[in-house]
Amino acid sequence: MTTLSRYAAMAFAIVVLATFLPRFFWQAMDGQQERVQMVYSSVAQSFLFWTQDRYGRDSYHFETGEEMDRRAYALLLPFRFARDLVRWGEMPEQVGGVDVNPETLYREVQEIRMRPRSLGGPEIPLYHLLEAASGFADLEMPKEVLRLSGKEAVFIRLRDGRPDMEKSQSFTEALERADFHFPAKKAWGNPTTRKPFDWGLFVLDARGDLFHLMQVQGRAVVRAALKDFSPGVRHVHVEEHRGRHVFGMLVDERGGVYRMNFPDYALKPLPLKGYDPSTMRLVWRRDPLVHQYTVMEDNALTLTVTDHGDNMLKEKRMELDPVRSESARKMASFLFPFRIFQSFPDSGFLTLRADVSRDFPLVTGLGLFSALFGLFLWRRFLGISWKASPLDWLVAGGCGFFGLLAIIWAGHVPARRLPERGKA
Amino acid sequence: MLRALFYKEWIKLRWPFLILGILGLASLVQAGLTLRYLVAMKEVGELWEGLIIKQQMPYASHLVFPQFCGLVLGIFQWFPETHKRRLRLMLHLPLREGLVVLVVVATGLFLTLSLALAHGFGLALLYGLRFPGEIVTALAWAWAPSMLAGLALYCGTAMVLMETAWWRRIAGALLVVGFYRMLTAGGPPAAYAEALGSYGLLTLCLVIMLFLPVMRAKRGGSL
Repeated sequence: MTTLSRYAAMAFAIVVLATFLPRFFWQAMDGQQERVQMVYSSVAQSFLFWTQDRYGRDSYHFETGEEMDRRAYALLLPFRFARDLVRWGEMPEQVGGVDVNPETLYREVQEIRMRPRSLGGPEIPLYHLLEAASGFADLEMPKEVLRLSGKEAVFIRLRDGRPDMEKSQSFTEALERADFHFPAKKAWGNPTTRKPFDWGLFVLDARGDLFHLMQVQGRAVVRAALKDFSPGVRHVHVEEHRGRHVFGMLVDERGGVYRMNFPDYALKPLPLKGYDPSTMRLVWRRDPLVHQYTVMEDNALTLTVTDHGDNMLKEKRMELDPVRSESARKMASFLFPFRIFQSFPDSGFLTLRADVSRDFPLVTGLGLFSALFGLFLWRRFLGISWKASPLDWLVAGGCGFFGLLAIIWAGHVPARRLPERGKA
Repeated sequence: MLRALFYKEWIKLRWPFLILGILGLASLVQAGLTLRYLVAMKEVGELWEGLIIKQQMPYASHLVFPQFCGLVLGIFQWFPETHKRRLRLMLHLPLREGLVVLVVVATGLFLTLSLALAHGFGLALLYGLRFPGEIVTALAWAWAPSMLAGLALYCGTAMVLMETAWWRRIAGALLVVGFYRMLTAGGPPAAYAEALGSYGLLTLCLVIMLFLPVMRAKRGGSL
């Protein structure tokens, strides 16, 4: 029992140390990165940069490095700073051969931001299905929530928490008529009234088919959006925009990302190479002339510019100064052969996932060897035979300094009671 | 003998248990009044939006109760053992050391768990009367790591009080505080749902390791 207890103590200590020590190390060693924004100017037909240094000082410059002031920067981006240009009376009538009407420009410009975190996380499977055509100017939050996780659709009234049987039955029948199979695996929507109209929910049924469900004057409107989609749907980012260009973005189970076009739900793969939605952030911006896709990684920024037919016009990748210096990374590899993360970029769950250090294998090996040598010295200091508790060598050799610290903390328990002081 | 041992522990813990029970009841009354206030003062849609879309937890402050129980019962059960070598005396009972430690620790954990379970059940009942099962399930997911944190605090307190070396007490306390932080890192109610088994296993390690300081106290330990 003592042996089991000792190794339980070590396991506990190793997990806690591997969670916190690397976190503290990087809190102390992480550098500061300049904030950089790279955009494409259809006026200058080149990339422009806005940077903010660690002291909060802004600078604007061209691809060539030539600096400009904030006003000049805004003048080169008429779709981004339209309100400023209108106020200054500097809004051009045409950009790139396309007429620009400031009154209707808001319909042409759309921006969608996707973060890895939005792809997964715990949620309560009850959905707010807004009324899409109430006849009133403003949207209102519904007076009931929708449950789709059972064998039928159930509307639960907010005032008393009881089901609205009549409405539930009508929606269940409408869904079944559209060949929807209960229970729903997941549903995505944009449950807010701060939008011009409502597109309801995109619901993944039990077979993996995607359906579009809306509430129009209290009745269900169901359309099959995607049938037999082989990679499977992982996430749908729904965004209502006055221009009604797209329903939103769709991420499949293999990491492919698509624009879901309005009104036919056609999927258009994004023209991005190497974009991983689980680890990178994406900003899609549409204006009357081009589409801009900005992919943000830890140490790089990539901007892809296409026309409205998704033909690539320009692409630029910009390496940013690494937040973590090479010497700090080497030190981390030496000290921490692995680390345990509670949170991951693409999940809102708090898990315990180990990540083995692969940056500098030789340095990691040296760290493990040093931990073994440390254990040897410690045992020599205490006068413990190297043959005692042979599993300790494995713990130190496998877990490095985490293992060594855990062994020191767990200590040893003599097999028999030690003689009382003075009687030895 | 086992019954006598359990009775001895019960005598030590009965008053703290009773007081904690009353505090738990008070916490449930307050949770009920808070819920009633929220329903009365907030627009009903706003309350549901908060619970479902923003995944707010109006019951969050009441989830501290299991942790408080673990800490208090740990102190009341193990602090008396640190005086006049009572722990050594207990280990000289005509029973196997493993069994003695097991009964004593199991009694403390059982009482902590029963208080936490009764309180958690009360909270679930309060919310279950007004909200659908999904929201009560979310509450249960939020309660589970809090209960594990309670057990961890009980074990941590016992370990710190029983350890023989000061540096090992401090290091152990830091590790337990670290684990406590891991279990109370926040997030939505079901944030721990994917890895609750792993956190439970780690708590079990902490329970099993309690045998170590007891043996060290009895036999004397090296550095």
